[in-house]
Parts: sequence; structure tokens; C-alpha cells
Amino acid sequence: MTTDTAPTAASLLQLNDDVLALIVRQLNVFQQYEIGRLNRRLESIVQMLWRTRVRNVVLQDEMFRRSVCNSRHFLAFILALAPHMERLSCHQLDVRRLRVLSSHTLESIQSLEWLGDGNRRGRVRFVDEDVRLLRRVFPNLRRLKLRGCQITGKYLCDLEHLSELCLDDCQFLESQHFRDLFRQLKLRKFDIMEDCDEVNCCDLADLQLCPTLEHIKIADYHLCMESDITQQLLRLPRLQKLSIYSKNFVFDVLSRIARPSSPPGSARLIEAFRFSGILHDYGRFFRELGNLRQLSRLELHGQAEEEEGGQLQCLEDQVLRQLASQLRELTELHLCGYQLESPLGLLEFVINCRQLRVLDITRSRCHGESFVWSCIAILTKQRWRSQPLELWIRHSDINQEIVHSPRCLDNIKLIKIDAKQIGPNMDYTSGVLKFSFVR
Amino acid sequence: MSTTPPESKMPIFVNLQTNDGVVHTVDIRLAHQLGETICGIMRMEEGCYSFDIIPLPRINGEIMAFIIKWCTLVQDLEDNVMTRSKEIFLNLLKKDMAQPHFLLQLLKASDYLGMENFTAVGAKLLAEAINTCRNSEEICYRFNVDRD
Repeated sequence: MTTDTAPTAASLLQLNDDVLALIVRQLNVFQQYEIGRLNRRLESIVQMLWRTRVRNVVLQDEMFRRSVCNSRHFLAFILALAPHMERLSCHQLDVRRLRVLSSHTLESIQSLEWLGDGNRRGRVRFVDEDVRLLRRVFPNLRRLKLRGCQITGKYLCDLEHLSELCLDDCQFLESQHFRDLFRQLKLRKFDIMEDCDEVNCCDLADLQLCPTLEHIKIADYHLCMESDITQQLLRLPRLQKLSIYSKNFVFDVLSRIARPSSPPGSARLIEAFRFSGILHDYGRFFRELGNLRQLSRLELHGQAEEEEGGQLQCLEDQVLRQLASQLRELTELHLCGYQLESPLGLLEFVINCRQLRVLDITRSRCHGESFVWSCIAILTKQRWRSQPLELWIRHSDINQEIVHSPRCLDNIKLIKIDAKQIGPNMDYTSGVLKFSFVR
Repeated sequence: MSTTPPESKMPIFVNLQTNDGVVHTVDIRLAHQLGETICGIMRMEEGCYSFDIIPLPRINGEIMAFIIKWCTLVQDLEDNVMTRSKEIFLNLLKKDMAQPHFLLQLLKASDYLGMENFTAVGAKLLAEAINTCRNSEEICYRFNVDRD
């Protein structure tokens, strides 16, 4: 009898190609390279995987620590990977490894993330000369994210194909370089929301020189309360999204944008607004929000207050009723993670907003099933409705079994209850006001 | 000889003989977990099990015993199947004080039997074993890879 599974002299190469591919796929990309160097068969398996699976590559410092990986070895690895890569993300990599690529060109890479650790002492930092290196090594770069870098911004304007720029925790940026940046580059996305404290409002006054901008992410200290920069942003012709992080000035930011001071029609119309966080004056917040009369989508995510033992923040009927009378164009309303004083405030939206399609009360508490019955009673009288109202109730105080109740089933043309649906984007940072504009 | 029709409530057993002559008797339900190779043989008789012994010429007794033990432990898992299957696999390896070559033998056997889940777990563990190697020389040494 054959003894293919004899206990001695077993070799990795006795496994067939499919199983070897299954194993190699689980190794990180550097280990794949190493194992591919051992044997022609393994090399062909690695190449087969790389042809389809390494468009997005993440390199982490720890990948190269276990084995001795000198500059020549690292360079050979990158050059082997280069034809397959389109997006490269470097996490805490020693910048000297990047400099090894200095006299080479990686034309296929369109997106680069360099995520350094700004707090690590004694480490060689990513500086202005490294931006010049990026221009040489990645001539087709479209998207760049730099974190924890010691750049002044001097050579960023030379990255002529760049359309997305994100700077995070770059504390050495200098204002005189921003004018060239906005004037020379056709940026579509510009993000300095996280920890770029040295950039102030004056530095961003030249944002209007970049009419291609579609998505801007900044912090409240980038909006000078005395200057007109907010209005300039709102006049950018292609602006689709404006995200502003605010810790202490949420109302000021909102009032600046919701109540534009320029002549009507010159600023872009806002069709959607999203906010996640804790506020201590929802009355004031909603009063400002009520100025956005053309809003079709409103998304608010409350958070439990730690000091109050994890209790949800309460929304009073009066403020909700006032808002419902002002925002009549809403098609989607997401009030997630709140305690409602009673169902009445929320029901006003069902009454007033004739186009309302989605009402999302995920994680909220609105007095249970009685809210649903009241909804149905209102919807029954609304003869203009051509499609049912979707009610999202996941993790709320409404029992999920209500979906199967005879009363809901009988009114399926009026109301469609969904106990599983969650919002399209759960990745939202607390304290960020996000405005979306009519295109 | 097992000629009991499938509708009967009496337990049905299958005899699997490995290349060292060892016969492993398993419940029909477990036999269905042992991959497409065995299932294919069982199907050939259209639901009537008229065979005495299913021969498995490419597997030895020690490997088969391990596979049967693993299948017995995972067959009723419902939650976190992949994670728990892997934990059970690891615990069995530790008990048997298995060396890397044993894992290779297991993978060869599971591929022969057509056991996708077992192969997936085994491949993951083997990849982790390769991960622990400090350099390519160590990979060659531990896994008997000839450079060319």
C-alpha cells in the first residue's frame, strides 16, 4: 500500500498548489515574498496571488523586524511588488526605508498613506525632502495621506496630479505654503481635521483658489469667527461635503453656516446634515438647524452621558415640533440614541413632512409600540402617500416582534418596519458637523 | 456488512480502512463530515450501503484517528465555528505533541478526503507556524523545502 503520509521527510512542497496557495495567502506580503524566493514553484504561486490580490498593500514596521531586512533586500521586495500595487499604506515604517526607493519610480501607485507616529522620540522623521522624494518615486500619485510628519508643506504643491490630500497630526505646517497649494493643485478632497493645530483660519483664506474642491474636512479653529472664510467655503462651485470638527463651538459653527450672511442664492444649498455627539442645549441647536429649510436629510446620533450614568440625552417635544414645522422637505430623518419626551414631537415630522420616506429611531426610546400605532393612524389619513414609510427600530424600545403583528401586516402599504437596518455609515467621529450640498 | 436501508432507526456505521490496515468504524453521520471522497463512495450505492470497507490508501491510521477526533468535536458547533474549530485543532495537536511534519501530513490527508473546513483550519495553522520562522533558512529546515 502506498504510504503517502509516512511520518518522516514530509515537505511543504508535497502539498498541491491549491493548498499551498491557501497557506501563502495567510502570510503577510513580505513573508510571501520571502517564501517565493525559496523555490520556483512557490514563486509562481506567490505571483499568481499577487496578480489579483495586492492592489492594496499595507506595510508595517513589525513585518521587517523578525528577519534581517537590509536596504537591498527591502528594495528588491518593493520592486517585485511594484507592478501589482496601486495603493500603498505604510504604518509606522522607518522613513529610511522609504528613502531607499529614492532613485526608482513606481508608476502604478496612485494612493499613498504614510502613517507615522509623531510621539515617538528619537525616530527619524518624515520631512519636506521626503515630499520631494514622493514626487520622484510616485509620479502618478492622486491620493496622499500624511500623519505625524514634520513637514512645512513646502513641496506639496509640486505633486501635480494630487486630487486628495489629508494631513493628520502635522504640527509644523507653515501658512505661506498654502496659497501655492490651493492655486496649483486641482484638489477634490482636502482634510486637515485631525490635530493640525498650527494651521489657522488665515491659512485657509486661499481655499477659494481651488474651485475643484468637493470635500473639505477641517476643525472649528480653522474658521475664523471674524473673517468671511465660512461664506467663501460655501461659495465653492463644486463643494459636495463640508465636515467640521468642533469640541466647544458647535452652535457658532452651525449658525455661521445655517444663517449665511451673503445674498441669498450665492451660497450652496445644503441638503443633508449629520452630527454625532453630546450637546447641552438642543433648543438652541434646533433653532439654528431650523434655518436650513431645504434640508432633505437630517441625521443626529446621540451619545450616552457618562456623568449621568450612561443615560440617553432627552429631546423635548416642543423643540422637535418647532423643527418639524420648519424642515418640511425632509425625506429622511435619523434620530438615533435619544430619549424622547413623548411620541408627539416625532409624530409632527410624520404629519408635516409629506416626502418623508425613512424615519430612523435606532437606539432611541420613544415609548414603545404606542408610537407605531399613532404613526399608522396618521399615515392612514395621508392620501398623498405613494409609498410606505420605513421605520427603523433596531435596538430601540419597540419590540422587534411588532413586525409580525396583524395590525402592522394589515397596514404594510402604509408602514414598513425594519428591525435589522442600520445606518449606511457607522463610522462617524463625535463632534463632527457634516454638511452635504445639493449637486 | 451494512445493508440496512436508510429509513431504519438503527444506527448505521461505516468502516474506513487506512493504508496500515487499521479499520476505523464511524457513525454514518460523522462519515458525511469526512469529506467528498468518502461521501462520493457512499453515494455510489444510491442510499443503500452495501459496502463492507471503504479503503483509504493515502492515509495512515494515526492521521485518520486525529481527523475523526476533530470531526467528532466540531460536528455540533453552531457559533464561531472557524475560531472554535481552530482552537480544537490546536488542542489536539498539543495533546499529540505534533511536529510541523504532522501538520503537513494532516493537510495532505484532508485535501485527499476533500475536507474544506479542515483544510482551511490546517492551512491557517501552518501559515502561523511559518510566521514564527525567523528567516527563510528556518522555513527550509522546518518544512523540508528544497531551494532551487
